[in-house]
Amino acid sequence: MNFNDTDEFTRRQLLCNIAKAALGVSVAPMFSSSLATAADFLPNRPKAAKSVIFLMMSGGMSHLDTLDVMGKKESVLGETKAIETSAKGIMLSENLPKTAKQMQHICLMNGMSTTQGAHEQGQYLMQRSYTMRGTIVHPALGSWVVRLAGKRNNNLPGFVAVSTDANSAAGGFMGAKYSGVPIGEPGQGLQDSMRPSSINEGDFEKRLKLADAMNKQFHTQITNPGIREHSSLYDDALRLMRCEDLKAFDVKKEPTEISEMYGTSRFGQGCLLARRLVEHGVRFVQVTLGGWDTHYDNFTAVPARAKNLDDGLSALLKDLHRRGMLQDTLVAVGTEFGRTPEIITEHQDGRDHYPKAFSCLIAGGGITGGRFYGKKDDKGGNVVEGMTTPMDFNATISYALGLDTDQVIMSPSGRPFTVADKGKPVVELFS
Amino acid sequence: MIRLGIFLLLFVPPVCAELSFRRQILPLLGKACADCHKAPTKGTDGKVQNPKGGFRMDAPSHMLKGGSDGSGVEPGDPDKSGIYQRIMLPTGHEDFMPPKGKGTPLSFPQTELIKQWILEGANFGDWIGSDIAVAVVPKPGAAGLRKVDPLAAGLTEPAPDAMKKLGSLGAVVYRAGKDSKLIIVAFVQSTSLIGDKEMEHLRPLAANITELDLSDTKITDVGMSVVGTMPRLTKLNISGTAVTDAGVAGLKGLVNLDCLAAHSTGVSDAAVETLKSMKKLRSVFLWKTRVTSSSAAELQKALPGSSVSIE
Repeated sequence: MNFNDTDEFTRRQLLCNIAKAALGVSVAPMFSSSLATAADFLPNRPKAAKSVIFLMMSGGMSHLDTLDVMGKKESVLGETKAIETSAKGIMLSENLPKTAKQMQHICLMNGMSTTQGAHEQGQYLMQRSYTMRGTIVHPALGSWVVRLAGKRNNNLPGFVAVSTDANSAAGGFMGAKYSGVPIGEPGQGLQDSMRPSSINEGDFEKRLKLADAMNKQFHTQITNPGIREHSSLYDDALRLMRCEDLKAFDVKKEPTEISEMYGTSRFGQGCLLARRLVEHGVRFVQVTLGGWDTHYDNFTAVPARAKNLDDGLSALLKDLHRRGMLQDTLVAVGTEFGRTPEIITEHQDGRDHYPKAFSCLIAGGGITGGRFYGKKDDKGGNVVEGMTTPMDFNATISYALGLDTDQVIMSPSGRPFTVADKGKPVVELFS
Repeated sequence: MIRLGIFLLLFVPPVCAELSFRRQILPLLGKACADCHKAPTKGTDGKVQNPKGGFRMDAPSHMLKGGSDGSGVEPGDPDKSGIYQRIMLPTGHEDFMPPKGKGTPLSFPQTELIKQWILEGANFGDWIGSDIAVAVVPKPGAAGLRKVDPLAAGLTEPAPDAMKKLGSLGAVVYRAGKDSKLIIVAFVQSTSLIGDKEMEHLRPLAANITELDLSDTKITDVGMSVVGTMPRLTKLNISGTAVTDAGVAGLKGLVNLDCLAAHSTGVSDAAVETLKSMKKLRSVFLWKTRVTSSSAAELQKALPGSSVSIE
């Protein structure tokens, strides 16, 4: 490489990284005030929730070892014991002792049932409400929420995906503009969002002006919307770089005792980051916890995973509540499917995939906690009351936000889609 | 460019008077749609022919109800109206109406007329078609969820200029519900730039504000005097501000306040005395303040059914 090019290379690479990191920061030309986006958001329900934190248990969380132990036979529970919770009459697994203390905020969704028994397809349905197709990628729930509700803080992305595979936070046919901004390590915050210390503000300004001058002719000659979107992406990234709201991404700003409460795991710190982001007006944060695919040695693997979930979730609920934010923030725990009631001894007591019946939970966001919705039989293998699908689950989240679940968004190919397909919100949760 | 402008001008439908359904719209629909979308009929071969897609267009109620694929006509919203969506699809599209061989596709001026009619509220005029006492079934979902908020009674529209001004300060401003005159104001963006001076911009909207988020702003007790003039305020967040007991004292007249979040502020037991008289308060958040647990317990007692949390 020629040394004379060093400068050029740095500038390009810097901007490119900013753009990458800030992908999802609105790229379409927008009105300068936040009023424009906010005015689009007209909740149909007074007291609608404002943000969502979606905790995705990837791999298929065993319902019988976590959320659904009530009235289950010992033969299907295996080594897992039930414990009392802060809500009268509701039991949880001993693997979630801290969450049990926050049960007054939680509604267990014990009637969940899905049609998808493979990971990729199951996660797709859970996060996008449509079954996987070869011809189209449906937008993630977070993309829908930002599209329909608008952003709350124009300086920050509307949808952030922490420790989440970038594909599962993709905006699909809505495009990169609505994709979740990926954060790999919660502790490291938003990557490449700082001006390198070797370049001072004046130089940086000069270089940007130079780039502008060089681009100007190009932009007047070629008026492709894609190119315009791209250059406005730079503007957004620059705004973010210079804005005080960027500190929302920095979990190191938290006092030690709070940071420790969430646990030191990547998931725990992800939950802490989620709270900070929601506090600064981010609409939708997804935090993923993997490793739930316990075909082998279920009774060692689940408690280990559950500890991370327990630390992060309980801290999140407690922290949101005492800040007065829990009624405005819906916290959901979802997974692609459950695991078999049968314990497979040949696999060191493992459990296999079980889509027919599983469990999720919803807390905050205007629901009444300390309850459960839906019921399975005493083996935990069949939903006998209040069956809900992933579409119903997502419709309920949308309802909490006051979104219009009937609003049709056309794909670029002219096909109509809605936020939770034809899911029905469980409105009983809100009474 | 100019030529394109003229081209568009030629096709702008006449907007002078409201469209007449019977005179201008019905003939179009009759030609393109009525054959397949009518009441079940018995054909010459004796077979019953049901309306295609379960969608009938022979009466207003059926058109409003939609078909098995969803919406038919959504007054005021062409983009949500199935009939408009389908006539606007590319002609080769499988959902395009009328389907190939079943009628002439509508021309651009004709589709614009239909759009205009929907925009104007889809007024059917005196046309009742085959409608004889068929009830319009309201769709579950959005429309069924709307609630009329009694708080808004007697209110005038929020001043648009004042809302715009707040927006320019980085506040999120929106209506509390569809078509509601109540508004929600939240300072979430660059909060360190918001102080007592900016509170003055809330005054013109004081009657309309029902939720206000001032958390982490630089406001003090001085700016809180503006908050005290918001009779419809139900939810207030002053967490992380320098507000003290004196600022909270000014909230005494807010008879509708239901939720107060004031964690990490300078308030103490003296503020609790003020809050005791506010009988509608249901949730109070006082973590990281100087409020003692005994005082919090007293408050919870003074406000039956409330939750006061200091931890």
